[in-house]
Amino acid sequence: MENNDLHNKLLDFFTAREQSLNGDNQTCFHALRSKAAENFRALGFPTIRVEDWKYTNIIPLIKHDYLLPSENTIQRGELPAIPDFIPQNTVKILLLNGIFSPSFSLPDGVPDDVQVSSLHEVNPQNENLFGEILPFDKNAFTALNTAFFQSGVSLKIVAGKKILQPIAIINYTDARSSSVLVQPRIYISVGKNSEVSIIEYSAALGDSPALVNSAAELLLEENSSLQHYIIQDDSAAKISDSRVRQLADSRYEAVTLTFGGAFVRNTSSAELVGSNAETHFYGLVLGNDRRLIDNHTTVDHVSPHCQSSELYKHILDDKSTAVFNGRVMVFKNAQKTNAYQSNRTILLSAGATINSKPELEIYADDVKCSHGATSGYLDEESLFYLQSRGIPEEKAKALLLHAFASEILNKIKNEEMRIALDRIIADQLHVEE
Amino acid sequence: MLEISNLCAGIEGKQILNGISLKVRPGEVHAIMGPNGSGKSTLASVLAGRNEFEVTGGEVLFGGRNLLGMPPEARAHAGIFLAFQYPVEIPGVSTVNFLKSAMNELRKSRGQDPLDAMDFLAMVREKSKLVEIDKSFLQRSLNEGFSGGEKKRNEIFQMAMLEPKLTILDETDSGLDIDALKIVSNGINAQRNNDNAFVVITHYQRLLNYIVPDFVHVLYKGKIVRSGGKELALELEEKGYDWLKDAA
Repeated sequence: MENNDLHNKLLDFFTAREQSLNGDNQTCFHALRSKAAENFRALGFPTIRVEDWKYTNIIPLIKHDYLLPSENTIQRGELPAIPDFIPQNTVKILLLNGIFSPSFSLPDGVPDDVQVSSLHEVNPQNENLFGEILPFDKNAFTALNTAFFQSGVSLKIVAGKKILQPIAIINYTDARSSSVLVQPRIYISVGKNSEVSIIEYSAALGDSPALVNSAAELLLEENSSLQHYIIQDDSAAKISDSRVRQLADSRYEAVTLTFGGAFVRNTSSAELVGSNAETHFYGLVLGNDRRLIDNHTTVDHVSPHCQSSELYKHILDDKSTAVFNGRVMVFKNAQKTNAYQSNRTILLSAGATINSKPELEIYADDVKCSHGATSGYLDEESLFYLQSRGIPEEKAKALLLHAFASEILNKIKNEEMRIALDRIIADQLHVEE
Repeated sequence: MLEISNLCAGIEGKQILNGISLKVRPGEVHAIMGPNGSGKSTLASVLAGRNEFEVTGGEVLFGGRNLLGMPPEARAHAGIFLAFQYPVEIPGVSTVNFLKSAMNELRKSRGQDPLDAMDFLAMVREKSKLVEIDKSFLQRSLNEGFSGGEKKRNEIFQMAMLEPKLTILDETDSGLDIDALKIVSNGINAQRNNDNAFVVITHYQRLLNYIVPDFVHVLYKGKIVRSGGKELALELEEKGYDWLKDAA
């Protein structure tokens, strides 16, 4: 536990705000927030003595005297251009300083079958799973988000619809005049037999220290399908926690691409509560300088006949550090589980580090589970083969790295998005046409 | 074209080549035979520039230039091609894109513009027929999941595309059945002309029935212990290597 100034300041702030809430403290949210604040008080910020944060030192992050913006401070004309990799026809939902901003989003573009609302306005009684899918008793940042989030966004796909337009949830953080801590909160539910793809992206304006602490809860109802693309190149530090609950026959596929940002910690988990559901976690991390990128994943196989696969790839240069912790839990009833996990890393410099840890806990006896991790420098044999055909060493390296990355990029089903992201990744790897 | 003088080389402090001298002129085919461990593949690797081998003595001139000071890509640009004994599988790089990069790098080194896409494809069509390579093959990742025979045909296809001056075939016959051997040999023979040359490294005489050499050299303990015409290969086939070991 780390009790620093920020920790105390946040708790004081919570107490002060609670007194000013007037009528709002009667809602269900209030009980949730109070509990979360209590948890945050008890947990404190994690130190590297906490197992889950062993390789990820957050102390430099919490030294800043962050403001918690309570409103949007970005004018319409100041919004950065939407990046190319977000396809033209995407429905864009904007969060500004982590706060859902319906007037900036494009209400006209939202198909009828997609219900977008503020988590603040919605009667919490109807959001009966809100705050239930994502526990906030272990991760201090999740507790913090739950205590403080302001007007998050709820996205519901009605049953029986295939949504053709991708939906992007974009957060812009205003770090132009002071250091800020913003806390986006997302609730997504995909109705029975429905299918949708969702893109998450965030960017910051200005260069004051900024921390984006986001939390997401996702519910996939029976036979629904969600492709979840998380694109990370934010200059703000990023801590995220997301958890998906999957009912029978549902399919969840997450592709996380991290190619920018000095500090990223993603905690991603799935619970397979219905049978015959599928989870796929794919990740690509490009690290350079002294950046730190940490992916903690958990798949909880609760029901039988489910499958999960994970493939995380890292390309690490300079003094960058990556962490991959992949936890797979197979509960007693989850017979016929098929779980596979792989983590592959190419180190481009002697100063780069990967900390990779698989954690398999299996309590059922009729399951197939495997994991594998490789790390090393670029394959000399492959490099020599390409060079011996006349391709110069630097180009040959870029070609091999791009090929390594393309296995993850190819998981992106939307072609427009895949091509644009491929170009960005190729540029970063110095691939020439 | 190629002049090797007293070449000595090794790996991790272990000497493998103990003074090899060999001259190859345009239009010639030289076979290098020898028992396992005699240094045949090491010679191929040293000529192509594999950096784990250390040259400890001697020199190699290629077209009058000092070959040993050049990185592998520069040797390729100068006109050397090594057909690998074990071609590497490279997932995620398609055969056709790889070849396009290799072709254009070669052209760039000669001050030529990149090949027009249509011309490139026309060339691919023509050369792939030579070794009976199917079109679908070209879109696949380089050598990934290819059979032994497909990998060797792919090597010869690349050679045909890049039109090197000197081709070193490192045990190209290993792992090939008789049909594949014929296809590969036909592909090689079709490339032979008065301006290029081949160094054929093989353990068995069988390949030399199809690719008829002008000279045969026997390598043993890192040295050429005997040179002769194509009849030397037949003699080796009959008597094995032991009589030469005794002589050495």
